[in-house]
Amino acid sequence: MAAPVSLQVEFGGGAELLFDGVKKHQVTLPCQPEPWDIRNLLKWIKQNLLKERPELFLQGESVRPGILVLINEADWELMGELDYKLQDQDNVLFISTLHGG
Amino acid sequence: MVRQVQEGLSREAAKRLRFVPGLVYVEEGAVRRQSPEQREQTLAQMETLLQATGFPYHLIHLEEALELPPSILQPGPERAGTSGPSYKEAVDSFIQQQRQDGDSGTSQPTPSTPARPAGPPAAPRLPAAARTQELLRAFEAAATATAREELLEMLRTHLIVQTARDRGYAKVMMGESLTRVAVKLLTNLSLGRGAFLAVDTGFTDRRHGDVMVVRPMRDYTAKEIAFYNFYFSVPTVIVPPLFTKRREKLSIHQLVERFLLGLQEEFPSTISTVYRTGEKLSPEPAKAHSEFHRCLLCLCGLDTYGEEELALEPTLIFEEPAAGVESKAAYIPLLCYSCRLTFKELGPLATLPPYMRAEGQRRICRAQMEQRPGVQ
Repeated sequence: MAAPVSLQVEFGGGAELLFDGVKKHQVTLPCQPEPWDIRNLLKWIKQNLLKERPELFLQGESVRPGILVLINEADWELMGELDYKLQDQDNVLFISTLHGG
Repeated sequence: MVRQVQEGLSREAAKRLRFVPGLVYVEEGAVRRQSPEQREQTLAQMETLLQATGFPYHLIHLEEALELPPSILQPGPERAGTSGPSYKEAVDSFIQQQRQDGDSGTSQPTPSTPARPAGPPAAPRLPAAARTQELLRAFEAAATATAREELLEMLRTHLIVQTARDRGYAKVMMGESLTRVAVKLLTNLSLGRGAFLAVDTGFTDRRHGDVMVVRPMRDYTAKEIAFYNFYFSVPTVIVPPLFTKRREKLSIHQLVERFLLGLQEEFPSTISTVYRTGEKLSPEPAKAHSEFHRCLLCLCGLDTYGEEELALEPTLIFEEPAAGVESKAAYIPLLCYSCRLTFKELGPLATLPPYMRAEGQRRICRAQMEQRPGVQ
């Protein structure tokens, strides 16, 4: 069982354009049987935050190539990428380095 | 890049940079589907950012490309620098100049057309709606997203080089990252610009003669730059992408970006390998190309001799209105292979910016005169 998790989810580099231009989102992930990880977070974001054109942010299970993910200001590659288990008060930042389209 | 230049110029730098920079921003909101309010907002944000640097800055609109002189399509005269003072002498005189200025930090560039001083921000002005419409016509008439992107890049480059030329700047630094250079390399290959890869993606680009374009950021990946900007709180301004029409196929630029970035996920050395291969290319030694041997639009040496052998014939069929009227076909001999392809996908001549038509017409007339020696 996972307790509800409070997170700060941020978007930059143009990714915010897919989220109504809002850069910072304070979110609370509800209680659920599996622990919250980035994989589930992305699904949750798709259903609850993404306003348009999911294919510009997500690809398959993961983010689209060219979108960087920082967990607590560190590259997610150092934290286990999709498998990182989210903790309360974590900060997840998505920065797009793509040039349009 | 601006932050790096600031650091390099600061007093604490071990090897302090010794040049006087200005900044230029080309506002392209018209072709990025921004409303006038959004454009004003972008301009205001940009102006605040540029003012904070303390350097002279120039905010220009893409619409100003409609007013470019035809001379921008010619390389400017090489500066006397090659036979002028040595580098050491130039540095010495620069240091003396700085001391005279009381080491106040920013001195004006040599020909003192004073750039906007760092005062209170003037209300940014948008160009007249008619100009915006005229600009948009050129972009909307483009048949493909690829041609539209190429047009944007051409206009932006010409505007920046002209701004530099007008204000006496000898060099222009562009901020392309390693990632963008690698994408550009493959994109340009796909566009038929294989002959010009070194010039298009190398560190130095001398095709404009008096103004040299350099790419100092080409060693840093987009990821490195993004992390740097984040950790050092470098302010940025985001703009939407170039507009595309409904149901239009993606541009070659977008496809190549997706391809490379996608491949990079599985094979993390992809982009750097493409880049390093490109690094091995060097431009051919500068020849004194007459205007008959330079492409009208990209200023590179024409690569279309022996065109009967090339697969050009099928691509040169035009739907022309009437003979005698200014025809697109007459421009073809003035263009390199890839610019011909782009040109074919752009709209009718009337939609193109005046400077392209003026310079094109001039060269066509000259070529015709050269072929009829008896006629004055």
